[in-house]
Amino acid sequence: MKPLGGRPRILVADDDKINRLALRRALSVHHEVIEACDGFEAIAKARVEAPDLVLMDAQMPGCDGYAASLTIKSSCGADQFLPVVFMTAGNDQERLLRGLSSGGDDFLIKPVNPLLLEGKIRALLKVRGIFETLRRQRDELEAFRNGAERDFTVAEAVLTNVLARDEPELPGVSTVHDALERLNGDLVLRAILPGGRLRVLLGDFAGHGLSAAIGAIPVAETFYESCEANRPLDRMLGEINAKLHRILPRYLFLAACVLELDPTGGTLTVWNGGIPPVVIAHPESSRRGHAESEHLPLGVLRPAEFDPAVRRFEVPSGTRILVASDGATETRSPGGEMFGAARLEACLDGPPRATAADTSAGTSAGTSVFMAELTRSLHDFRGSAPACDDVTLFGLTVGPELGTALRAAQQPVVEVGPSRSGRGEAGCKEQRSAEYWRYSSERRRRRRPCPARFGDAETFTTGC
Amino acid sequence: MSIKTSRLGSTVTLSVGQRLDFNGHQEFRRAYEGQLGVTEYVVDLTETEYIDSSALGMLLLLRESCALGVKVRVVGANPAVKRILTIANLHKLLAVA
Repeated sequence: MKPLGGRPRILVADDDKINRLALRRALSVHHEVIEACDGFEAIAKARVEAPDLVLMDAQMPGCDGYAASLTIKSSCGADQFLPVVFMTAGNDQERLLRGLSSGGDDFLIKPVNPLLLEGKIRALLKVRGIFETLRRQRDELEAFRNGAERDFTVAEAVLTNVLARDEPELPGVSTVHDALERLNGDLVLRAILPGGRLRVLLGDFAGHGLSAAIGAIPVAETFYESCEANRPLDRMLGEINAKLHRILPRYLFLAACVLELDPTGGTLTVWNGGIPPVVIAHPESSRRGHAESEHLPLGVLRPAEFDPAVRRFEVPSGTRILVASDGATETRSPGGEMFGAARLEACLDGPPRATAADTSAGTSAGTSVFMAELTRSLHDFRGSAPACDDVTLFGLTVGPELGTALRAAQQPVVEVGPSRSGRGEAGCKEQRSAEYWRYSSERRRRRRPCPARFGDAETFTTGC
Repeated sequence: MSIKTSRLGSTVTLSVGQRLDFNGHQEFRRAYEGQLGVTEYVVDLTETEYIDSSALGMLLLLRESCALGVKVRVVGANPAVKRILTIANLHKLLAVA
């Protein structure tokens, strides 16, 4: 093999020893010369010695230059350029044509003029150099792409494992994701709490792709951990905010809306920081409630400034609830118009609700009807226009089926039945102490003075 | 996208072009970095038709980079842009006019 950065290697194939010697003398100042005395040897040395250019005598006994050139050229990859220069005794049309059709790249007439020889070699080696650069860059790019693909696959698998829990299908609850990229910053997390309550977080990280998706991991872990321990909504929000504030760069944050539905009491608790208004459509009237965004997104404020205040809504059976990321309302038509909140809300009415089929299927079927209507409507509105953002929708209809399913699926950790009170209480205590430990360590961390993240902590408070 | 920086006394105005999104992160940063003795930054969105959540991040970053007592004002936002700022409640941290 050619040493890296060494002199270019020229393979000289000529049956005349005097000619080879003359060429060697002319070339060896700037090049390394390899000799072959016929076509067969030329083919063999082209393979073994890896020359950068071949000077080929056309007329040789046995295997001539034309045949050797054909073989050498055909064994080169399509992405390689090994120049072959024919040396012919005369410049008659027939010989030159044969040289061309045998893969020759240039000609020299014997006796070879040393200046012309050097000029042609230089030009052809330059072309070969360009080929090599291209090939190297293509290989680097391919290696990079393969690496990125591997990383993406791993990231995707990890994210899927973190985000997806074995949550049962719930009647009247539906989520729609329409993502621009494989990894994106939208997430919907769902957990069932003791008492048959349902807690949902719909989040939308600033930005797109992997950098946005990466923040989903700590959010999901805190969310599930907090729900498993049955911590109140405000505590969970404080924990997620504190965690994101600590780990995310300042320009990354999570616009999020957290809902907690208590179907037994018929109440919905909402905390909205940066998500378009949650629409709450009452069953028997055209009355609509809106849970507007009242807070900064999660991860923006320091823990001490974070406001976990929630709003409560009465949600009797039949109430429809819709949360949509801004990707939905900001979907653009080919003409550049935005989908907007009015169209979004109109879909909640959808096709007339009180059809016979709908009534017989119960209230829970209403969700799939209005979600399908909304998805169709968004799709039609966008038409041929390109998608600009991830769209995430969460829809829910309060109803007895949902209440029953939630009570059936609720986690048994904290609710301790009297029959196994002994073991249960011990388990409960353990749970509490683990929780207590986590909480107190979190509080200890919060009390630590906030290092340089907010160089000017005062600007922060005065702005509020 | 283009951001023009102009300075009048100790007030620096960043005039944003048609869009402010994640592609403009570096440019936005360069537009205010290295300015000395500033008491107020004005982000002029009069020309701006679209901002995304990354733009909100850039505004937060600008605000954080400011020394104590430096004001950041956002002006000229059209209704659509203002809606995005309002949903994120950015007016709780920055003056939005």
